[in-house]
Amino acid sequence: MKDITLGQYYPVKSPVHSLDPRTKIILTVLLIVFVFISKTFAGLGICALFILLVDFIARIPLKNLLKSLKAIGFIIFFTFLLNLFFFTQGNAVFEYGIIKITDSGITRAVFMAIRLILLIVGAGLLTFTTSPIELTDGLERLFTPLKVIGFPAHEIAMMMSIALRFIPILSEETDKIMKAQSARGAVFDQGKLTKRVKAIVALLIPLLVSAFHRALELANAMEARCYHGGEGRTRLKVLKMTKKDALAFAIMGIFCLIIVVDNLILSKIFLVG
Amino acid sequence: MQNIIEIKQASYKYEDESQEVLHQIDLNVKKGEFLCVLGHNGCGKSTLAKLINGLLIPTSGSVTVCSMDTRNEELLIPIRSRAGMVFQNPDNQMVATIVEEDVAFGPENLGVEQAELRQRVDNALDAVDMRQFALSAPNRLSGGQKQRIAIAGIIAMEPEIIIMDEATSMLDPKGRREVLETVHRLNKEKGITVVYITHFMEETVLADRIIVMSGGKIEAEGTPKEIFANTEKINQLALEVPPSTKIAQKLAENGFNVDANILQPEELLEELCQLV
Ligand SMILES: Nc1ncnc2c1ncn2[C@@H]1O[C@H](COP(=O)(O)OP(=O)(O)O)[C@@H](O)[C@H]1O
Ligand SMILES: [Mg+2]
Repeated sequence: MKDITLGQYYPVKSPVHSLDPRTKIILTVLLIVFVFISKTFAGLGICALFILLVDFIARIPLKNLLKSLKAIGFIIFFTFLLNLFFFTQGNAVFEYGIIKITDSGITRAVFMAIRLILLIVGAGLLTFTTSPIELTDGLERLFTPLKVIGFPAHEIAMMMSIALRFIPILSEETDKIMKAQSARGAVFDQGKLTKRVKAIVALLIPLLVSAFHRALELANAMEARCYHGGEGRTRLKVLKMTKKDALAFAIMGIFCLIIVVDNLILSKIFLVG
Repeated sequence: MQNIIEIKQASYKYEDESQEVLHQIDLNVKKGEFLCVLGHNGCGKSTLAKLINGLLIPTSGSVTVCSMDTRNEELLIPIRSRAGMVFQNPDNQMVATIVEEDVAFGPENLGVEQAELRQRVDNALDAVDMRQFALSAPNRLSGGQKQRIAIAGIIAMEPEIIIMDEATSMLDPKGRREVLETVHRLNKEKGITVVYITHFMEETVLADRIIVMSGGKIEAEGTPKEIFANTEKINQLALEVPPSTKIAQKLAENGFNVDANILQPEELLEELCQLV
């Protein structure tokens, strides 16, 4: 059976992996916020060091972590160019017709690019060290208090976990239908556009029909097993914060403090943008 | 012994359909009984199963499970927790991405406390001999193993009845044997009542009783021996007798001194040995 990996979870045992998913979600949000409010290169450097440190503790090869940048490399490059060409304050270092590149424009473009890279890599730390199921669990628990204002925390988590359960099944089925259609002469990757669209439709319709059929059967099976929404439901797995989580929060606190100090003191000296 | 399931004059018609699917079914099942339901595709076996655990409510007549009437909406959750159901497609009844969490799904819905939940899940996995797969992903399991997990998911609700709705029809012979052995063991060791729906004749030979359905009615009823001895009726319902019985019947027809009522290969072997 084919084994597709979802997301980019990197399954090893490490102190970071074993943290409570709620801790990791909160800390990642904090990390993102503090990368955002860092005003100096020194601040970004501290963020980078912090991310590297966590990555090292989590035993994730740096190569893998950086791979997550590939998908959005274009966006990083595009923001870089935008900042380079459209930031016109400062001394011009290059002028040609309407194009004017200034020294502070270059600094700003580099700064923004680094900030984006750190944001992506920082958020990546969460998905690398937390399996999709743990993430779902963590998010459900974190959002549970919002139930009082009608936020469907349980329902969303249930949908996410069912999706996680069925993605491999449906992807395998797609494969099967594709092979069956190919055997009857369908071509998915060449030929005229209309022909390809036809082939895709011939793939999507049976897939959709099957997905609906599965959904109906699953609903029946869930009902037969006494499912009646999230009310009064208990859970086999309870999330528990331990000393490790406290330590993680403490380390994060120190990191945040450094960024604040850096912003207050160093930014007066090397203000960027 | 007391009846754990009592079906009285129950009929069922699907909404938007003109024809009734089940016609005034009368059926009692005793506590601890292993009942097989045989019948062709579309004869209403699944509909009957769904009536028993309250997924469907009879359009007329009544269904009572553990003295609870399925027409009473407030009793549906207790009824479903007493009468668990395993479906045909192993993939379309698993909710969680980890085996033990799937097993826990039923009791979680019932609000069982965490410590007891843990105990129930472990016991249920032991009962189907799947403890070592507790932390696996369902996708990695064979069809037979998935159905055993589905059974464990029911056992964890501590039911009195298990309804198997053609739960072996998508499995290979090995998987079918695993599943059938598992329910027979649960029936013997835990005294769980089993309603076993199938169209494989050979799966019914160890049942306490068989009912044969056709066109939404119960056409024949009896012990496996009684059912398979009535070759005419079986042929009329276009069902097929188990292979061992067929061989014995052919031998008896041709003048050999064998018992034509045997059901299992072992019995056939004995008969044959006694010939030589
Ligand atoms: N949800 C439904 N809506 C309408 N008709 C249905 C539905 N489910 C089953 N039927 C019809 O009811 C009859 C009995 O179906 P079913 O109980 O599934 O039979 P079996 O399980 O013996 O194959 C069939 O003719 C089928 O077409
Ligand atoms: Mg059926």
